[in-house]
Amino acid sequence: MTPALPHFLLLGAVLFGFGCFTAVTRSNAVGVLMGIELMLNGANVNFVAFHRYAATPLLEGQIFTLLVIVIAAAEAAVALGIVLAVYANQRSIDVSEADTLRD
Amino acid sequence: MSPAAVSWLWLLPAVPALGALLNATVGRASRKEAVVSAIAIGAVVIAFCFAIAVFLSGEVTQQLWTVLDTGAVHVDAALTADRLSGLLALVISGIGALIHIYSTAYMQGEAGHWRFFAALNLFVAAMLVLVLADNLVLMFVGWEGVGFCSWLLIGYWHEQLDKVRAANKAFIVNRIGDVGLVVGMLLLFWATEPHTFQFRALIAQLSGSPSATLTLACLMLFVGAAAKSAQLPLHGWLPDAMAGPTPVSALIHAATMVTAGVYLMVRLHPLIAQSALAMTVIAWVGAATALFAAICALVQTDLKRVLAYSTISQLGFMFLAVGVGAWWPAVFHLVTHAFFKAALFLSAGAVLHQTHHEQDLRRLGGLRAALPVVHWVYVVTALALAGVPLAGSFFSKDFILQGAWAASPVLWGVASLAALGTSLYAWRSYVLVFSGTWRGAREAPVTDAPAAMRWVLITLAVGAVATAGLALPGVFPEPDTGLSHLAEGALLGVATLSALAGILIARRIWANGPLPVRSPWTIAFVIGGLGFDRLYNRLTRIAIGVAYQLAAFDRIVVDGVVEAFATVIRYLCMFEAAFDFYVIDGMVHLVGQISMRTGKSLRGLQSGDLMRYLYVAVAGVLIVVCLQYWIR
Repeated sequence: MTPALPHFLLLGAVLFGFGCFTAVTRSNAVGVLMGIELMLNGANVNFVAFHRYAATPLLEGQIFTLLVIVIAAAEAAVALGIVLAVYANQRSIDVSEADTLRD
Repeated sequence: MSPAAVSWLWLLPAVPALGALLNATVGRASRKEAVVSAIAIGAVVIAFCFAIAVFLSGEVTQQLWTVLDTGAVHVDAALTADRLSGLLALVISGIGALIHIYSTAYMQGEAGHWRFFAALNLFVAAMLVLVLADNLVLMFVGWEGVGFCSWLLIGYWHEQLDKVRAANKAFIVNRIGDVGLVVGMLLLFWATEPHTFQFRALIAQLSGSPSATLTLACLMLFVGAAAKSAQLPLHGWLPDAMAGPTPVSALIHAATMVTAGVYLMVRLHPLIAQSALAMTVIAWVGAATALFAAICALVQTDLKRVLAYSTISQLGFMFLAVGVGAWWPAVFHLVTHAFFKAALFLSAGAVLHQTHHEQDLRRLGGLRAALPVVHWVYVVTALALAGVPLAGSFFSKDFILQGAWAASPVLWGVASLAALGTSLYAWRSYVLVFSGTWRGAREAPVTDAPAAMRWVLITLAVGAVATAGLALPGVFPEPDTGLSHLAEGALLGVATLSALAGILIARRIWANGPLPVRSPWTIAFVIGGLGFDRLYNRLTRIAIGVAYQLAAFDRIVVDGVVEAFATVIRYLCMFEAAFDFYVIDGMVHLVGQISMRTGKSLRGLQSGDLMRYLYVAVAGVLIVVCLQYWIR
């Protein structure tokens, strides 16, 4: 059985679902970030799959994927910086406790 | 002809002023009556010598300094002596010197000796400034100066309330006159172009141009003169002024200060002559005063008050003379009156001094033997007052009566009645004091007055007779009444006869002492100066009552209206404050409250809990996705 488009779409959806579940359930900030990465990559799989199986292959799918990877890297750098700052302040990286910006 | 400029005229008033200053410092510190008297007498005698020099040197003037020089107003402190000023300066310093000498005996042993003599010297200085002033402003300085000294000396015994009251009365009545005087001065100033206060310039500019302003100015000046010279209706202060020591009454309230009004009128006579109305008013006020005061003098029981009313009456004669245009007779009578009235007052003072201040005519009497010198002086001067042809006053009064006849026989009639009254009360006072027997409760005096008094009295009596020399042709300009010699002779005869008749009648009526009082009310009415004082008191009381009414009106009505407005406005403000608080602020608060409530209720959403945000976001996405399926 040769893999076809639905298989990839299913893989993307599963990755996204796992990522979403991880982000929503983890109280550890790093875990949340990891969940977000998973969701992004699930989306990337969709982009690349549609690029590969389109009737007239389009370059946009790959370009979008590269863009998402770059932005995810930048986002990870910034988010980890924030997590470090939160830890320096609160001696904890539990997101449910990081609620001082509320007021 | 303008007067010659000299550099020594200022000494005439300056020397008595210096005497006053010395007495207030050195004399006061020395505590010796002799030192005080020597300073005071020396100053006035030196002034008298200067006055002789002034009188002999004709018209002289001295410019001292400029007081004011601001645009149109130019006032110099300048003195000028002409014949009128020179003659008056002689009288003031001469009689002043005699009265100073007399006072050393009269005031012996009084407390505040230096105060008396300092004030007396200051008075002489102020009076000399008054008569020598070159302009109205400087004359006004002297005018107020004599008024001030008069106040000081009437209230000399300032521990006694009635004397202080008398002093204040004199001062206040004179303030009324001063208003008129100042208004007159300013009217004259206003009427001239260029503006001036100087007598010569005023006369040169305003002579020969009668106008309503000039009439008004003359009448206003006459108001001032009437107050100073105790003419109707401003005479009331003079009888009360007898509260002062008798030498003061003699010098200030008989011989000099009270004649300042006459002096002012004569000084400005070319202006007054322009206004027929002012002349008539002055003549009639003078004649009425002469008659009124003569009647009052007839019934007075106080020797000094008799003489005070007599002074008012004689001043009335002088104003009558002014009013009929007999300028020089007015001055002539002023001079003769100064002598005989000073002598009468000083004789009265000698009587008082010897009888321990008994001045009630009902208790005096029979002093002829005990006080021979005083008696004879009183005889001579009372005859002079009565107008018997032996003293200067006979001629001066006759000139006045001639002038009155020429102006209006009615005026002459009034004046002649006053003259008859004069001889009656003059001889009445003589009879009651010197003939008959002593009626007093205390012991009768046995010794004559001290030598200083006697010699001064004799000198003044001789002077009163000798002033007849002024009636000689050529001394004064001949009064030109336009009467024939026959008429003049007839008038002279009538005057002489009425004087003698008055004396004879008085001798008969009062031969047995004072008359029994038949009509107490009438007598009290006349003694009280025909009710003028009561009238003024009533007027004052009415004025005060009106003032209280006005004050009440102010308090109740005016303040009430103001307070009503204030109350209305206060309630309006309170309403406005409430409106502001509840409506305007309410709207603002409402907006604020709404925002705040909304914020508060919404802030619960922002829990800060990241997990929940995520749940919501995911749930939102799921809902959107689900909706897409359902709606399709």
